[in-house]
Amino acid sequence: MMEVFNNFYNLVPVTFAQSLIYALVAAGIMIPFRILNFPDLTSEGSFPLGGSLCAALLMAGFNPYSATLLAVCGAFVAGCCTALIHLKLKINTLLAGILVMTMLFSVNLRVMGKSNVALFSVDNLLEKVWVGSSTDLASMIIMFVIMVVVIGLILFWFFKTEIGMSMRAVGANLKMASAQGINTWAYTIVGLGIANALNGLAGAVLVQQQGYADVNMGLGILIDGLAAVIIGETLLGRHEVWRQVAAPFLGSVVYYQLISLGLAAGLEPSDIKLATGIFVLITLGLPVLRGGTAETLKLRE
Amino acid sequence: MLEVSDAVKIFHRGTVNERPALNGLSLKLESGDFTAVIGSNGAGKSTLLNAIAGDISIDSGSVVVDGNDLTSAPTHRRAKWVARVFQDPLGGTAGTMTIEENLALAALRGQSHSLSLGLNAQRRDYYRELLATLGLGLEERLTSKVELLSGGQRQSLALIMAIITEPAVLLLDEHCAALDPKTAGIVMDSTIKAVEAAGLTTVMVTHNMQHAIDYGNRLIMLEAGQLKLSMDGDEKASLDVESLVERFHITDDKILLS
Ligand SMILES: Nc1ncnc2c1ncn2[C@@H]1O[C@H](COP(=O)(O)OP(=O)(O)O)[C@@H](O)[C@H]1O
Ligand SMILES: [Mg+2]
Repeated sequence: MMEVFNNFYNLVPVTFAQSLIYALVAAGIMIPFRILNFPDLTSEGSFPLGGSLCAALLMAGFNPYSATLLAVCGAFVAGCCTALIHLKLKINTLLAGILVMTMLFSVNLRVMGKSNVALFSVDNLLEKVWVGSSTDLASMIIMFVIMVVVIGLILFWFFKTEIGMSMRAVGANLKMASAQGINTWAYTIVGLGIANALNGLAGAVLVQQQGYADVNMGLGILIDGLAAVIIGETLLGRHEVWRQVAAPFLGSVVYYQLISLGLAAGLEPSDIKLATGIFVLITLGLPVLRGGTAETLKLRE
Repeated sequence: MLEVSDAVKIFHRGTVNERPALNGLSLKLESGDFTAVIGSNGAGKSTLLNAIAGDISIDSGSVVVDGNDLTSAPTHRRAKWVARVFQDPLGGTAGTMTIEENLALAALRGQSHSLSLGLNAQRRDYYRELLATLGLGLEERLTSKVELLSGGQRQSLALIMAIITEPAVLLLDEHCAALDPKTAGIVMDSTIKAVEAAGLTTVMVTHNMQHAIDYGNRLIMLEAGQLKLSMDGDEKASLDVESLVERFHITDDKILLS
């Protein structure tokens, strides 16, 4: 018992640092699912796209800033594609996401040229930003906390602006939104773009933090992110904008500590996805089994 | 001014389910005209309003508002001129957003949206003032979620949202039909007060013959996608339910009962 606790305890800082990166994915999942009412599965592809693009660009000699920025732009475009496929071709939102994510798997392989790339030989963002200091765990955590807080605050502010409010209206009531002069297509496209840009940013930061990129890094990330969003919403609620925005961030931190605890307690890493899936199933399914409606997943077709 | 010319809309054209909804309908409203629209179920009333608002595109004909040809403009672009209240109280408002946020979105209708905050003290004061005219106490609940409101409160809010920009055309599609009679009366009173105060050009579909007779300066009746009757001025003013029924052989139960 003591050993389990020690194992977990020693990993808390590392897990915390990584959970801050994954918090961006959770936010990138929250935006389509909760704000736009558009169940977007693109993250399984846009997260590794961000990583692959960033890795390939770094290896090609780009500096970490432009590599990260371009990776984010690539993921933005991926999100726009999913929205366009749904809007233009009238393909169901879930299927549109699956199509893009599947196609991105090939794209990511093409981008990197092989299934994984080591980045130890090149400069990375973490070293660049933290000028004059080594990238020890403590300074990395400070950096990530700043990144996450800044992005969270920007999102909170954005959803209170005229444009952000219009985006929320598109998710809340399409018919009302267009009657109020809101271009629902444009907002859906840009909204999905922003969400996937966050996924891409997470991918780009992660490969730089861990020093390698792997084409399979997105596997299961959607359910992880969804689990994080649900945990955050359970802790904070979602009835005010700040709660909805903060939920994926807090949820991610808690979720990855729980996973770490599970691992320390002897859960096989290969069983984690099963456990997470069951957790998501229970939280989404419980209200239905109790005779209610699936409030958590009331989505656009 | 609103001018609909030769509007034709046939749903599922060329199939066994073909449904003619508008059959070369023309309608002209001068600025400030308040027109009540009656007609049996399926006569094309909602289709006419949808064609004006842009929710459906007509097969042929044109829709012109204040000299702007809107025939092929999408709904969101028409919103600068056209505002509406739907029959379904859930339709015209965003339930998961607050009262003040809904009003802010409505107030921005037809303007470009910016990255400045959607709400500020000045806007809130203005919304409070507007809501107070309803007499429902909504001015005390600016930050409540709209989904917490009753159907009548929600429809009253939708009305305020529709008129907040003083639209060139206001469309009301049986907007009181989903409410209980007492609430319907309250919402209808607010509607008339607001429309008359601002002198809005209004098209109001109703299945309530008394409302059609009492309100507005014009009355039109649709049948099979065409204008069956149009009256205004003294002729309309002297109308009562019996003479209307008698003159136009209205046999539709739904119309007579209400
Ligand atoms: N979206 C639609 N698809 C197919 N048919 C429709 C649609 N909307 C209306 N119709 C048909 O058009 C006709 C006119 O309908 P509508 O304008 O709703 O009548 P009203 O509002 O006067 O009751 C009806 O026959 C109706 O079935
Ligand atoms: Mg109708």
